[in-house]
Formats: sequence, structure tokens, C-alpha cells
Amino acid sequence: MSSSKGKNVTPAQQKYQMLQKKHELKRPVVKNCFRAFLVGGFICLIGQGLHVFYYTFFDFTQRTAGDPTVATLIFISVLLTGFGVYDRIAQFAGGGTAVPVTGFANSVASAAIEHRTEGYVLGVGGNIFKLAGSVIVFGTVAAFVIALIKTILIQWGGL
Amino acid sequence: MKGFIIGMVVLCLLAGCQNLTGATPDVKPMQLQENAIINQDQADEAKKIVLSMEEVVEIKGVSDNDDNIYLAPRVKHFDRFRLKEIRKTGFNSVKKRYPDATVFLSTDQKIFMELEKLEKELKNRTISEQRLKKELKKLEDMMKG
Repeated sequence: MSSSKGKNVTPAQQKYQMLQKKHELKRPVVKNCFRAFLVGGFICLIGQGLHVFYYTFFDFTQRTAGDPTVATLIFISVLLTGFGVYDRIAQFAGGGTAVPVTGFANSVASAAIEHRTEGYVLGVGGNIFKLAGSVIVFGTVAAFVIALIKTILIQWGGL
Repeated sequence: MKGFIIGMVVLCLLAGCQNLTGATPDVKPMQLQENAIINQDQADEAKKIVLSMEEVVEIKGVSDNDDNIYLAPRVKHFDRFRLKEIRKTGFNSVKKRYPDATVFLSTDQKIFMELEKLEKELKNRTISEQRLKKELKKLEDMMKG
């Protein structure tokens, strides 16, 4: 779409584009970044709090306390998704809620809820990884490529 | 006006992080010496050695009669990027002083807290040798785990 812009436009089209530009709402990028920073940071703060809580009061070390922390965060975000609260937070914060692990949990849970009416196999089963699937695929592929690079560097580069 | 407020908030947030890098005075390690039921000379000496490292701000450590030394240094905030290296240097310097001892060095906060507890109990003489051994065994498993 955008590639056709500026090329072969009639004067009428140009005029329309100018008009469109004038009325188009500007995306508040700085504001969005700021909100995402605050809310995303707050989620991470909760995560850190849980982490400290787990290794202070239970038999976890700093290293192993990561697992129950992630589990708790996922559980909370799935609950919030089910109650419809997470959507509101996401509306406000944008990327801040999507990037941490809670966003991943939200994408899985919300897809499952959305497609429940289509049946458990083709609906929930087929759509649950609609958004999360790409994350998993790209994550795995990227990890594979990086592992390859690292192996090559260590084996032959002598790093 | 709004931009100004946002700018101020950002400035405050950034300024709040400043003191973390500042030099924190080293906390003197607890020297147990003869106070404890079990001789802590090795631990005391090892604590001094590791604390002399620039990156270490605080340290807890306990030793037992079987030549095991358990150490948990607290590392300066920005040096935490090099935790692995710091562990290695700390371990090697203690090992050089006590070649026959088994040295356990962990930068884990949990180990730090547990050793702190043990140190206090040793000082107050509220722990038996048997229980100390059991607790240290537990810590050893945690460090490996």
C-alpha cells in the first residue's frame, strides 16, 4: 500500500492524501513508550518481589526461585485474562503488557477463550497457539541459529 | 506543561539510580574465632581474603571440622555482570591459602541469608555440631542444585 504512495498519483489523489494526512490522528509514540515502560516495569517489579519472596520464605535458591515466579505470574495473568481485566491493562499500556511472560500467557488464554464456541479440538486446540505459535517458532529457530554460531565460534574460532 | 511534568518524572527516575554505583563501604565480616563451638579460624581467614577483592562488599562464611569452607560474598551491583569470573577468582584465592580444604563459594542471595543465620547461631552458641553439619549439607545441595 505504502509503496504506491508518491508514485503515479493524480492531482485529485494527491489532494485527498493531503486531506487525509491533516485529519489523521497522530500516534502518541512517546506517551505510549512511557506507559509501556511504566506498566512493563511494574509487572517486572511484581515478578522480582515474588522472586525475593520465594527464596526468602521457601527452600529455593535465587537460581531455582525463577520457576515458581514464572508459574505464579502466568497463573495470575491467565486469571486476569479470564476475568477480562488484562485487556483493559493492555489497552492502557500496549507493549508493556505484551513483552513480559504475562503477555505470552495472555495470548494463549485469550485465544482459547475466544475460540471455545468452535469446539475443543478444532476451536481451542487449533487456535490456542495462533499468536503464541509464531513466538515459539521464531524463538526456537533463533536459538538454533545462535547455538550454531556459538558452536562454530568455539570449535573453530577458538573463543 | 504536561511534557514538563513527564520530563521531571523521567529525570527523577534516572537520578534515583545514581547512587547504586557509588562506593559502598565494606562491611566488616563477623569474626567468630573462639566464640563458636566449632573452630571458625579457616572461615574467618577466608572471609578476609575474599572481602579484600574490590567487587565484594559483604561476606558471610562458615567452616566445619572436615575442612569444608562455605562462603557467600555479596557483590557490588555493577560487578554482578561478571559474577562467574568473581566466583572463580574468589575460589582460587581461598584455595591457594587452604589447599587441603574444600571451598564452596556461592554468590546466591539465599546461601548468603542461610550462612548469615548460621553465623549468628554459632556466635550465640545455639547450634550443635550435628545440626550445623546437617544445615551445611543442605546448603551444599542447594549450591549444586
